[in-house]
Amino acid sequence: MKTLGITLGLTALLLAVTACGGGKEIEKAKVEEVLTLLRGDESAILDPHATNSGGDANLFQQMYEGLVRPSEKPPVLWEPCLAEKWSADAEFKVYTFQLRKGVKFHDGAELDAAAVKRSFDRCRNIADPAAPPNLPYASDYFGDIVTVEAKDASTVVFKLTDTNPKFVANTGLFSASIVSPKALEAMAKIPEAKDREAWLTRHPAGTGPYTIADPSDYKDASTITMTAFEGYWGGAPAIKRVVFKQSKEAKQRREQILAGEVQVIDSPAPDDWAELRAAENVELYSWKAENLCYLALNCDQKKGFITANPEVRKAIAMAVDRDPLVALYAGTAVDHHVLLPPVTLGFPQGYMPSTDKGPLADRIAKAKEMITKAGAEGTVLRLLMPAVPRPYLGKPPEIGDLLRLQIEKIGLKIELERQPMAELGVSMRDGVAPLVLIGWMGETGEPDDFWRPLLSGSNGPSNNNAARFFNAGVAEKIDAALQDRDISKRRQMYEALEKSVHEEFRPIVPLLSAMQAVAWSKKVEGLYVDSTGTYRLHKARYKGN
Amino acid sequence: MLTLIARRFLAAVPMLLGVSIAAFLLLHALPGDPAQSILGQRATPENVERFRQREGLNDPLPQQYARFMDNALHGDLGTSHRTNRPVLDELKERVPATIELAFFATLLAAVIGISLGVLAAVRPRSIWDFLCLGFALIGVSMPIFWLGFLLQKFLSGTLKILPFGERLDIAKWPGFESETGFYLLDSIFVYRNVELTLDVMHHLLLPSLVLATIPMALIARMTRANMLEVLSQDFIRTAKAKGLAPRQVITRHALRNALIPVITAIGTQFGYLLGGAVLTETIFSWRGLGTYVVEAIDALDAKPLQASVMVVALVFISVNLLTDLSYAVIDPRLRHSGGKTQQAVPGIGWLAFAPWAVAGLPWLSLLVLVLLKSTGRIEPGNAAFDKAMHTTWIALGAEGLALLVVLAVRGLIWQAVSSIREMAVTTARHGLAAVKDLSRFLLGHKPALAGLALIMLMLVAAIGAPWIAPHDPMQGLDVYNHPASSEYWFGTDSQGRDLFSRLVWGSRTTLRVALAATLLSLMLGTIVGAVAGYFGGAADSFFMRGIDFMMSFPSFLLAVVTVAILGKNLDNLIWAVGLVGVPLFARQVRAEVLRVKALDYVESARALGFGRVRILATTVLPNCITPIIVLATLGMGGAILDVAGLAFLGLGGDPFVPEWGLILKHGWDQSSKGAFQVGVAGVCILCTVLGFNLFGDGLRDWLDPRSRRV
Repeated sequence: MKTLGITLGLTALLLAVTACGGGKEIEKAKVEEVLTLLRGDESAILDPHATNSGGDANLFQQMYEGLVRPSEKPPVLWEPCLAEKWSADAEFKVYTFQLRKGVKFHDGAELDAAAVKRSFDRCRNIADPAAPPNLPYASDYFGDIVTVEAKDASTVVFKLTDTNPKFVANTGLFSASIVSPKALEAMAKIPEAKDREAWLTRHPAGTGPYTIADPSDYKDASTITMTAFEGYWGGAPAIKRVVFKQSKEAKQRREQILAGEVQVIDSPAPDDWAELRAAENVELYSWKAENLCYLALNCDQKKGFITANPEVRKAIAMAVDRDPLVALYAGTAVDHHVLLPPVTLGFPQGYMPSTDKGPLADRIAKAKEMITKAGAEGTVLRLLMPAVPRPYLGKPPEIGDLLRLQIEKIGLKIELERQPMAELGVSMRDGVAPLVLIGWMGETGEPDDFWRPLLSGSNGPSNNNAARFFNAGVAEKIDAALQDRDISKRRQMYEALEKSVHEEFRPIVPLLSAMQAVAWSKKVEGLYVDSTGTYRLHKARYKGN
Repeated sequence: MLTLIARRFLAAVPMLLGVSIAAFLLLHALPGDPAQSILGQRATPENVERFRQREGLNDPLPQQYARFMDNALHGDLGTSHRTNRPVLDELKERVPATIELAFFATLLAAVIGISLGVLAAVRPRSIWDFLCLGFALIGVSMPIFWLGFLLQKFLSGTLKILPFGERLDIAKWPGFESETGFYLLDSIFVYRNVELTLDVMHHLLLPSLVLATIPMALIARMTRANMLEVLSQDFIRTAKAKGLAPRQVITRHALRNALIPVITAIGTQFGYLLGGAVLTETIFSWRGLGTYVVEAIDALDAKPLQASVMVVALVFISVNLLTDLSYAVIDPRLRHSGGKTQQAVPGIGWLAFAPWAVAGLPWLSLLVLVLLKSTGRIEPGNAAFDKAMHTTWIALGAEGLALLVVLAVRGLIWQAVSSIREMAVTTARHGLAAVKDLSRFLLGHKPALAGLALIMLMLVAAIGAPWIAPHDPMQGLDVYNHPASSEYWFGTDSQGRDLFSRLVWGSRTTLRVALAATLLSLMLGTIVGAVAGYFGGAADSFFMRGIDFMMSFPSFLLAVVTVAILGKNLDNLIWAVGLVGVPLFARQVRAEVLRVKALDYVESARALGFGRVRILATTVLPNCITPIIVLATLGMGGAILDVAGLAFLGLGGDPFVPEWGLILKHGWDQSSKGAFQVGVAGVCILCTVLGFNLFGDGLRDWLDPRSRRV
């Protein structure tokens, strides 16, 4: 009793001390000025040129901008952003962009043609003094740039090696974000590549509506506070602060938005969509995304995995049953058998690879025979997958486990291993495992956005090519399909590519294409998800404000 | 008093030195290349090599250790490759977060626990007493992450009266910058803002309450027991006879005397909470030291792990030191003895132990090699390992041969055989009599019978799993998330596996892992405790300093770090949980051996000229066995909770092995569809641990004549 009395007394005393006031000033944020957003991802590196994580894109698009930006609503169209207008020569080899005037970077620098040139020099050249250690998009998207020229203060000219009708879309990718030359100059003086890469994380220097105003606002990879950039050319945002917090478990995110503790959550679990839709205080926005979840089979002969044998790859493809995988998405995903999503040009309507046809039991029996014939029976294969959910891969361990159960039926043994995204990116680049469960999100609506990074590259597999598949003949056809200006011919070329690659090589086993969703409080309006699936916050506001 | 303080401080120095060596070696013990562990998996081979050269990772270990200590003493704890921040900066945020949480949990545990214990003792056999005992039992049997989930769901989700987690709503207080790392202190003394203070306390309440559950239960139980004892003493009767008001008798006389050991327990619990907060911090997104360690293990981030181990041990040793000193302040006997503890019987000395220590070396080598092999740290065909194993077997063979020769030369073979027979007969006779007595006792002890029934139920499930479970627990049935039905009693999970079958098989896996871990603790603890207690002297110092060293880390955190070294795997949990349980058994066995070896019949055996080992094996140990069995029974409950906790943190390896902690974790990850799975897996863990605790308590009561009277 006495202990209780002492404790209560002490508490009262402390509160009395507190109530006396006179301490350091602290302002309580007005509810209508702050937005708290829970996401499944964490962002260890906030350098738009250095990462390839779709989850990070949602942060970059608040802080950085490209020359163009995607339309608010699908289909994906490219609209003026930092460039007011642009034009291309007749061969689509020279592009000229006219920049918007009066745009400032977060660090006070002016946007001009020299700044654009400097930024593009960095994002495509690993030897640039300000470059991070990794430029995952450089070769696939900017490898064809010969020169970037600042013709005058507001005119930038890009000269390309070859015809590229989709180059404008490439300049709208987050990896083509324009970074302040002042910041790049500071970064160039940092000796360690790793420290250079980390610098932008706490000192963002874009032109977007939000910025990290104080380095301490980036608490760590899981808690980041962004502050409205009052000098934003599109008008200062109404919401003055956005707090991005990581909450790995979808269940926690659901509970917190239902309880009204946070205003936005991304990647709600498909199982929870119905409940969120029915909730009085929550708006659920879902869309058919341009994405693909697939199993990559390592084709690199030098690595010595049994998956280098096309017969083994086909056998694995035959063992896969997509129905239970799709069932995990509670009606928010469709099974998928080819590379391109159905919404993309060149999707081969009605085609299904021969490995996926026929009753499952027959396929498994045949696959078993093929494995025995290849002498691969009992081989242990390591299957890598992301440690955290991805928009196309909501439940990595569950999908991985189902694949294990299915593939083990044909006489192979599977070892599952989860890796953080940054580490998985390196593992994919180095081709360290025979199997990788991963996915891809298209950002431009272009078929080349899938073919080049996933099944091609320049003179070898690209960094994102998890199957380490590179065939000169296929690469030529991919180039040709990109460069042709006749849309119907392009469609035919991509359809033919699908058929030949899957029948002949089967480097990947496409599994499904998932819908995506974001849920937000009904108290908030103006927030939207653009046509590429990135959420945009600059127009968000609390209703009635 | 000054002598005591000096003695305690001096005793802490070798401990701190040992901790620093352990932290240093951790870098080399982690799987993979140390340079890669510091730089991260993304580092290129060139960078790794350059770093190795620059940091002198190719230098001899003592040189590396000296550099490590030099850096640490200058505040350079390295940089985390995961966050790219100096570890010292991160610790400045994480350590106060954990201390704040542990402090409030201890405060809650003390206030509620003592109040409940006093109420129960003052009104024995009342509803309060029943509540106190029930709470104490369920509190220590509850998987803390499960309780956290239930309270979060109810108090934060349904009632919306408490926040889900975190230390403060930073969206509400964007300008908040902690100056001390302790949010509450900052809000009171730096910002002096009532609303901010209340907000911080609001966030502290639920995690503290969850973390406080186990210590609260222990404190309530301890207070009740001590109060009951004190209330039955003469001076209380005198106080009552003097006509003092009952309230005065209780608060001024009884409670003051009953609280002395409770206060020590509170101090110790605070130390344990520092490490035990890992699970609570994970559930409530509390960015403390526990989550820091788990994140570092996930990313194999060596520097934060090294620093965390050092800091935790440092804080833990300091808290224990303060507790010791406070105890000395309260208890004048300790103060006047200068902190020297009395040994019941003088030791036999180091020399007597030395031959046995030499003889034990090959066994120790075998243990280490088996550990390395079974945890997958050794690739098949490793020449160095094969050679070491070969040498060990040769040494063991030679030892056996030498023993036979010595026995033959001295004509002692028949004596050795008769010793073994005698030991078996003594144990059997002792055991049989004990079982008969226990059976009689248990028939009148309903809680213990209930506990035994729960254990038997789980054992039947574990042994009969192949016949009871209708389906293969690992094989998908192509029926996904099926609700409970006559075919699938508990439905199927997201992988199309029958949940009932998984739980039944889960009993086998969970009990197997927990039993193996307990047996490992029991075996090693008994050897260490018996040798230390019986031989005394230098052997005692050597082993018990080792035990003290292990106890300078909170046990759960030590288990977490052990798994990080061995690798995430369910079988490795046996080693992790088993090794951290050794001190508990070693101390108990040592105490028992010290007690028994001073008894007359042991003196008689010595006078008859029996050898030391024979006396230890045939006379001393059989007479210590009963309390050890009680401890093992209670230890099983703790082991089940530890295994489930480690599995919940994702340290159990394959997430689909049928094990209760993993089944619970899988349900947890399934959002709304996994709620039932979380519920039933939690109930299985709770019931089994409760069973072991009830039965263990019964056994303890059976051994304690005072409890028998009550």
